[in-house]
Amino acid sequence: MAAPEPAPPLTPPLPRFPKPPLHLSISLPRLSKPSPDLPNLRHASPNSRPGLPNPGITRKNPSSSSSRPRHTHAGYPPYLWDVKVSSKIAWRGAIVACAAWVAACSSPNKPISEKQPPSPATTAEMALMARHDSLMAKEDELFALKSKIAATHSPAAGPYLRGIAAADAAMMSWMHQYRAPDTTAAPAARLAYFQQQQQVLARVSQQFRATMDSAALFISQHPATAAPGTPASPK
Amino acid sequence: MFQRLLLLPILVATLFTACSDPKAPTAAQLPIMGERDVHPRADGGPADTVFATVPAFRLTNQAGQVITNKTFAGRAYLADFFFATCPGICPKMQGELLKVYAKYAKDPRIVFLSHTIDPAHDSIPVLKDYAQRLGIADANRWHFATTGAHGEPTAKDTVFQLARAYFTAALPDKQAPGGFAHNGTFALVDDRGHIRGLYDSLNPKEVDRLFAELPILLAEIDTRKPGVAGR
Repeated sequence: MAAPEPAPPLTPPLPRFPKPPLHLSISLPRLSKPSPDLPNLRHASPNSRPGLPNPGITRKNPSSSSSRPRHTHAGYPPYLWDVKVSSKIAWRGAIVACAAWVAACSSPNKPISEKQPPSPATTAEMALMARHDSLMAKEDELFALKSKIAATHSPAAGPYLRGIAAADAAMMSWMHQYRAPDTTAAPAARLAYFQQQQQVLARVSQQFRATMDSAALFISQHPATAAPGTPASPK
Repeated sequence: MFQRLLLLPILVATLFTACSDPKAPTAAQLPIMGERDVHPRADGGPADTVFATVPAFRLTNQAGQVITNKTFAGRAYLADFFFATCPGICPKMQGELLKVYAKYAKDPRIVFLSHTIDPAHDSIPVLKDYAQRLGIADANRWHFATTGAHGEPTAKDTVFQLARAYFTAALPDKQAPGGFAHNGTFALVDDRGHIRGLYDSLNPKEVDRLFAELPILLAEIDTRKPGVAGR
């Protein structure tokens, strides 16, 4: 007895499309030797899709590279040496790199950019300005001490007031004589000027410190003047 | 009991109305900085709050004009402290103030006031030259002022006291950072002499904050002007 024929399907069969070629692979750890049939996609560029030229970089067909000795690791396909860069692109890259190198090295007077460390002269100038700003901030304190000493009406206050006036005059004299050299001046000359001015300002700083210490001591010996002053109303 | 039941819906309705009034004023305002005193009223009413103000001053600007607190009545002003030979922060500070000036040069609601802390050197001609080099032609728009126009021996003491007073008027003494006359700070003063903002001119974000807050103060001043408040 013959077997019954299978019943025809109720719906027509779907048309069969050709299986698309595999372009992407999941990057899992390879535990075994990959199949030689799968393309090596490690060096594939975005333009290396089928039908599109891959300018500049051509990948050798593994099957046609038998003329060159293959350097493989444990039987894996080669990676970097599997890519061939066209000589035209290589020359262009070399020319651009040389041009950039020449441009970077051929300008000794180039302006200081943010990424570059400041020159010794600029560093010296910044240190000088930092000390100047620090001393100017102390001027407030100097004059606060002066007002407290003056408020004592003590006959012994004279030397301390004169000391404060001298310290203030030293600071003002420094600023009035200070002439920062132009940035186009020789770097060595700029550096020498800033270093010399730093020494002058260091002496002013010492004068400030001695004067303020003396004034604070005088005020501490006159408790009546140590109370905080009321807000000024200059008129 | 019945009266309490009657009052309850009235109270609820009042609260609802107060919360849902779309015309309630919600305009942003800058804080008034500094200490404030609370003065009880003799009649037992709500106490008065007195805010700190800039102390009285008398200066002379680059045109030789005497300027006092009354010069700035009804207008806001931006104040700073500088000196003409300053090699440090002053050029940058004045450069930042110049940017603000450039935007509000024609606005009569605000003027500018720079105090020299070197009155012995920064005479009226020096201040005039300094203003001209900054491109300020109108002394009534940006005052470069001194406390020592007539060689007053206490001119420097006076300007340092004034600088201290600006900051202690804005901040309690314990919070005041010190270095009042040379820390690159702008003080924004309103039309009533209250300090409404302090801005570090060496910090770009602070300068941006000044640009953002200045229109708020000017809008507030507009509401106090007759004919504008009712708009």
